[in-house]
Amino acid sequence: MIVAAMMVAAGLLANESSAAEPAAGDEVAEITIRTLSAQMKYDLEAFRVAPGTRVRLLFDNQDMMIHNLIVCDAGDDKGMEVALAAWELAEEGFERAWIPDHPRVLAASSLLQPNTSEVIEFTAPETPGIYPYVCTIPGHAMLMHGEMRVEDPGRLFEELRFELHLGNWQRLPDFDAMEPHRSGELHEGRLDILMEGHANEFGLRFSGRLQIPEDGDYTFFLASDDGSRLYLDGGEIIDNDGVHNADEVKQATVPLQAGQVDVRLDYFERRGDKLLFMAWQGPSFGETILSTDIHPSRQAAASSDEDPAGMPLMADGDEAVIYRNFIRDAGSRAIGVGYSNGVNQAFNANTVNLALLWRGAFIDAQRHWSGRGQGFQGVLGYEAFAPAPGPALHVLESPDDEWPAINGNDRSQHLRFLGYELDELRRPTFRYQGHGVVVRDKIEPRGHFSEPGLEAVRLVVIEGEPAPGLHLIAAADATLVAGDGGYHETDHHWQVKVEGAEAILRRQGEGGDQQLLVPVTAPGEFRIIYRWIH
Amino acid sequence: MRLACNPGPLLAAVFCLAAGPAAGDDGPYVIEPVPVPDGVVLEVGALELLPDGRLAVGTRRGEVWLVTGAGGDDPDQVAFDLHASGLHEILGLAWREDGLYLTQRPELTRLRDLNGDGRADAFDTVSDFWHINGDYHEYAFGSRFTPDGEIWVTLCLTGSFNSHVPFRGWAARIDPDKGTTTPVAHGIRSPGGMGINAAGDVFYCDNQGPWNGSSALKHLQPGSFQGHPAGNRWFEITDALGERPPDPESGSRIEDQRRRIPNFVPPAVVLPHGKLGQSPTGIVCDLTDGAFGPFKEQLFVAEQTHSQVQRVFLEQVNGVYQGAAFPFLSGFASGNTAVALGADGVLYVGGSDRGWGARGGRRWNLERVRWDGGTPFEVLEMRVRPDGFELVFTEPVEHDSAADAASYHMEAYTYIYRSEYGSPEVDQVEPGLEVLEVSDDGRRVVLKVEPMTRGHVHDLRLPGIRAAGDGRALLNPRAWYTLNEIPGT
Repeated sequence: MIVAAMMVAAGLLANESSAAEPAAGDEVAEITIRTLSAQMKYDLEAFRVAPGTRVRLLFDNQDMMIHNLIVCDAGDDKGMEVALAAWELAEEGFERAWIPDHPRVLAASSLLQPNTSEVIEFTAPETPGIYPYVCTIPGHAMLMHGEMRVEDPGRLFEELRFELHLGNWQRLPDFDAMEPHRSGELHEGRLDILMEGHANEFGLRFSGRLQIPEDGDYTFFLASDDGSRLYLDGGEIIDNDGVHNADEVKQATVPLQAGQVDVRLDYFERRGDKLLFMAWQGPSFGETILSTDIHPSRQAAASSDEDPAGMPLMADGDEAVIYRNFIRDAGSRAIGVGYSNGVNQAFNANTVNLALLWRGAFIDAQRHWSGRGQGFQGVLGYEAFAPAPGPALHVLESPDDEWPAINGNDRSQHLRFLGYELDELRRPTFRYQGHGVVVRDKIEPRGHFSEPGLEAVRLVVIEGEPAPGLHLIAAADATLVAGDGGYHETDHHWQVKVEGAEAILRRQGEGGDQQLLVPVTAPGEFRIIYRWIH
Repeated sequence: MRLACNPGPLLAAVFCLAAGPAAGDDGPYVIEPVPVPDGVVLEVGALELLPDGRLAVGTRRGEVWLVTGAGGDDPDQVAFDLHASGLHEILGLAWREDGLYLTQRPELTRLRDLNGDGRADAFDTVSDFWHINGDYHEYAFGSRFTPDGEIWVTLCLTGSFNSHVPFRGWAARIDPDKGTTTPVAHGIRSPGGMGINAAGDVFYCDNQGPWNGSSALKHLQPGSFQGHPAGNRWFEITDALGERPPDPESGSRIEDQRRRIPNFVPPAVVLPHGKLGQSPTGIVCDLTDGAFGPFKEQLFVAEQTHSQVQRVFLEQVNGVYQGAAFPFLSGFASGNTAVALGADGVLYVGGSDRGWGARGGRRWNLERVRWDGGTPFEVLEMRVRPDGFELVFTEPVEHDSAADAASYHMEAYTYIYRSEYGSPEVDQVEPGLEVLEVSDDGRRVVLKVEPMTRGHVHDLRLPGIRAAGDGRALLNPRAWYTLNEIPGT
């Protein structure tokens, strides 16, 4: 019999796989662990198997570096002891696939080149516990590890059933007086609040049985978001009712006699985050988790320096804050600017144009300031919009010429980014050059983000002799139309006005954007005012 | 923003202790932390000394700090001024009269302080000829100024195998005065840092991976191919280096392929992977004329994963750089990335372990190394001869130990040159050793080595060598000489 490893979409530990059906001699648990490209991580943080299960582990290296995977004997060190022993191989590490002679090595892959895979087979230990797996190539182990959880199915629920109820409650309702929406069995023997896929306004009553191996004191742990209540043989032992988060793990210790005990657990979720964590321990076994959710306090410590609160950047008093990095929709050469009153912009030095405006919070630096900093970071605030695509300036040979559409990582063919200068409030004036002119392009905010009429006032100064047909694109949007007070309005949350220069509104092609263009015919300056409307 | 340091009793104690005579068995070089104000996260990516003695520190988080008093005896006098922020992963700093130049991911930038308040307010784009597709791996490293007034940059590939956008895998020389940027070399994989030797030639460290069996210090000879062919596609869009040379054959040896590929410059000094670090980074040349000890004009190479600094002696044979690498210092606190060496003989070392672990264990470090004036008993130079090597020691050796061939052991090996990641050591040779001469002053030993194998790292151990007088063993009885060329052949 083959027990396929199922992905468990648990909210807090999404990268977990489970194969903890009751063990029998001929069962094989099939597990797949991939490496994540460019992140120095496995894609599976944990999987479960029953003691003595034959494990067939497919290790698939999809990263651009070599990696291995070593399953270690039990320990809560994320495999660091074995990894450090591997480091000591220095001289021979490569030939020996960075596998040290260490008593905690249970199973090991070879060194896998990029885009290769290997199956390793081994038998899970008989002793329940946490068995880390780790890449032992020097420097990898701190980020690249996971846990094989060997759990005795005899410690899980038997005949576990659920009743699903729908409703909006502040406290646990009387499920006895209600007809369940649905009911069924949970064959895995673990409480699971996500199996029905309800996100908000639901309740669950779980009932099942636990085998008590011997007389003694047993401790039960319960945490939930929102409320829950635990009963043993009909008697309430933990009350965790109410709308709340799952930070607190409540516990109760009760003396039990060998045999079995009926367990009932009532739970409800109003809306927002949700979690149900339950575990128990007895005189002869350690804490065993009885839910698919795992409480954050029970998870291996965060594998990086990531702060759950992120690293939001903000203006320092009246001074603007600048963040050059990969910003989504502003390219790989983005220059983000957060102004003190909640106006933000991102300039794209690839396309050489204002790329984004948004209001509220500026940006979270955590993506780029933890780990290797892979990927593009989106903005942190709201009501973001891209005023216009492509380069800021373009020569239109005829009125029907298209404005060049270039990707945010593509370089402008004609404009050269020259840098920026900061004023006394650290607000940048971007400079760029092309088509005979040097442009100074600066945004100053006007108003406050929490009040109506917030504006980004963009001052454009042209120096030099513009090439014939040169235009600056102030805005583009399919819904752009002339409105009141000189503003051009959109169906979205912003409008735009040009002051100090003529502006042309034109539609590019059939069904294309309406474009607001400023002909650049001589040195001088003009303003473009972008306004958020409520 | 100026921040003073409140070192607290522990740090102050470390400082005072380290400033004392000490040294002892660990040699005359002492690693000390530079006190850093609370709240400052100094993931050091670049270091540069200003003429007034201040230390400029560029960080991976895009800040530039100017540190006053970093080399002094009084930790209370150390002050940090934030000169610039909001920049993108700074991996090069170079000072010149007209401003502080920095290499950040998108460009070479000149910083200027127009209003004299200590903070940069002009950020001039000097060169941004390269493309970036948004992969974290596309780092840009920059040198200090060359004697010609240029800054050279090396551009990491997109990952280990590919060059998705121009000019990943290339190096270029930038002349800010002329406003020119000129491609200067190709074949780069993953640089860790750059440096300039006493002759003004530019070097960089490349890291073990595809087409790099081991990490190495490499010479950026103008027009050269450095070994990784992924970037060769950009010959389509530039003729600055002439015709595209043939790509190398995987599974070969560098020694063979450099005969096939005319502009292939082999690694000047291999830093054997796992033996002498595994992630070399920043490079600095000792131009202190003795203020930092006996290693005049040698290179010091930082090491990220092993939290070390290595030492390199270079010579040119048949126009090709080669030489020996030696262990120098271990025990830094984090992943060393940048080095700078002041004229006063203080070596500054800093880095971080973010994204790649490091032995040091701390998230980041800014440390300094001071020489206490004592002579370390070391192999100062290892020079090639037609039939062996000449060793020069920092102090006289005890004659009998040096004259005994059993005091030495040598093996030689190379690596597979291939498209896969890294390589084991292969083609092992165990040459015979004979001591031909021990000089009267005990400073020089001539070894006959048979055979001398071109293209091999000659890994020399000197377990039996003792100092004249007190019989001390060498501090680091090991050297790795990369034999690209044999004189007279």
